[in-house]
Amino acid sequence: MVLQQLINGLMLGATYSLVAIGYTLIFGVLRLLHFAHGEVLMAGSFMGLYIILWTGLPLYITLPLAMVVTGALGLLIELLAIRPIRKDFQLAPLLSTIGVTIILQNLAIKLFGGYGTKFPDPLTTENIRIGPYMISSAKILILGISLFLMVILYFVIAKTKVGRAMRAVAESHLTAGFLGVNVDRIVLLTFGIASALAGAAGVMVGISFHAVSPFIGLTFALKGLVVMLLGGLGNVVGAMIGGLILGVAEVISIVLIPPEINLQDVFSFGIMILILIFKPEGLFGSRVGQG
Amino acid sequence: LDYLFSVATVAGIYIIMALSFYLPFMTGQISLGQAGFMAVGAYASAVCTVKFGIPYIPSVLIGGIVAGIVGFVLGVPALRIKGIYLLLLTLGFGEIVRVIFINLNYVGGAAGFPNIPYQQYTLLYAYGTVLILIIFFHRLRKSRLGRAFQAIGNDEGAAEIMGVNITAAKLTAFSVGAFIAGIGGGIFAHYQEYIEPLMSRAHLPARILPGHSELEDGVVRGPADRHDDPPAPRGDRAGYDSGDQEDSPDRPVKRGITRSLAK
Repeated sequence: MVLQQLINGLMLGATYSLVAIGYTLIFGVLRLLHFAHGEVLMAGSFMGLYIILWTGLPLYITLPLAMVVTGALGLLIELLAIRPIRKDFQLAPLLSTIGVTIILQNLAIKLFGGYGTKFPDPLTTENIRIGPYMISSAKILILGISLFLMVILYFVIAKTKVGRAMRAVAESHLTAGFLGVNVDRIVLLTFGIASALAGAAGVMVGISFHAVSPFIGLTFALKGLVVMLLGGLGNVVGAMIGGLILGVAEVISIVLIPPEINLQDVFSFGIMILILIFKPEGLFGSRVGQG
Repeated sequence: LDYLFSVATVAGIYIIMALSFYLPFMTGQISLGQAGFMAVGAYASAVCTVKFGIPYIPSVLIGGIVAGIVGFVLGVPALRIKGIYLLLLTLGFGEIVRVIFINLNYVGGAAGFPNIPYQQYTLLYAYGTVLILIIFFHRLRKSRLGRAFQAIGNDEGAAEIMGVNITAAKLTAFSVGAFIAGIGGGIFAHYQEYIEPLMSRAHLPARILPGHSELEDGVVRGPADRHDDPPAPRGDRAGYDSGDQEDSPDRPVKRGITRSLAK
């Protein structure tokens, strides 16, 4: 029971982590809250759904495809909604991302209908038996993929030239520009990576909840924000760990709090408010830009 | 003509909401929780009329007061934080309000709160409120408190050195803003005859931010001018063009692609 809940929590948390990493990357580079991130996740979810429905491709092709599509969507958002107004006062890009949220949500409603769609099961899920516990292999797989993506991302940021450029841009646009980093391109790239991760998270949300609707975006966006705060703004590792913590905490709270009260969300936002009030730098410090 | 009136009415309510956002904004507090306050006000006033049979005007006022009190409570922690953190706090607040209303069976839970008496003269009440608010803001601008607000908005440190009581001023701005939002919510509830927890969702604020206003359904674009120089209240709304506003109680399907880029 305990182990099972732990795995559930970790799986949920891994999805949160992927979303939060996107937020935190974008926040690190642009000091911007990207509200449309949840909608990018929703788009990724639908992409995964339709790729599977139409082509019947297996998951290991679907997932990268969906990531590519959402990555492109992220680039588009940056080019159309953020780049033209980036220099304006602080609130303007924020508003424009909220605008993007509304556009994407309504587009999705128009295209896919306002009701949830059933997500096909791309995996032949067998339950793995560990001692007395039953764990579905889908969950293990989701957890594995998320952790794998996070590890890759960590190495990209910590070791590669692009990662170094991203960290430099996060420190200071001006200085990074002087040192020969193409700031605009790095920002664009960051959006692409963040959105691709959100897309992956979207596909996994689809798999684990067996349903997709145009309204899932905001829930995950807000959870992602909580996680970002938990880990510290702009702190990628913090976002990873924070996501796992929130996932586990949420699942435990479901177990402990009687089921009539649906207070799961209050719980996580309560955490957020407490953190905001008492420890705004997050659990792991707001080391903006650090890998 | 009916149609025009309904558009105008909803526009009036959104003007109220925009003004409620504007008041804390004067002191440099950006609140995305106004929709949450609106929901609190709407529910409170609806409970007053439906469950206790209190007449329209007092119950709307009660809604405003309740929202104001909640705003005061939220305003205390909000004093300590600013910028992006405040934004997140207010965002989370809206979400908490939603979850709480979903879990309150007394007000209908997730299904929403139906059968709120319809107020026929909502248009007049809404624009009456707007008129009062415009006069209020006009007077405020020249008053001691209004100058304090503006000073804080420009530079908090300098304002404090000049002897402005920042705590009191910011708290006042925040809770009065919540009060106005609550009034707006109350009027809205008695116009729609139906409210649901989803109304406190975070995207509503996007529609009421200054120069950035639109109706629930369809497209009404406020002129996106005066971003840097916060608008005089009536500048908010001059020149919205059209919108198709549809009263479907069980809609979650919003129609129309809403273009609302900030510029």
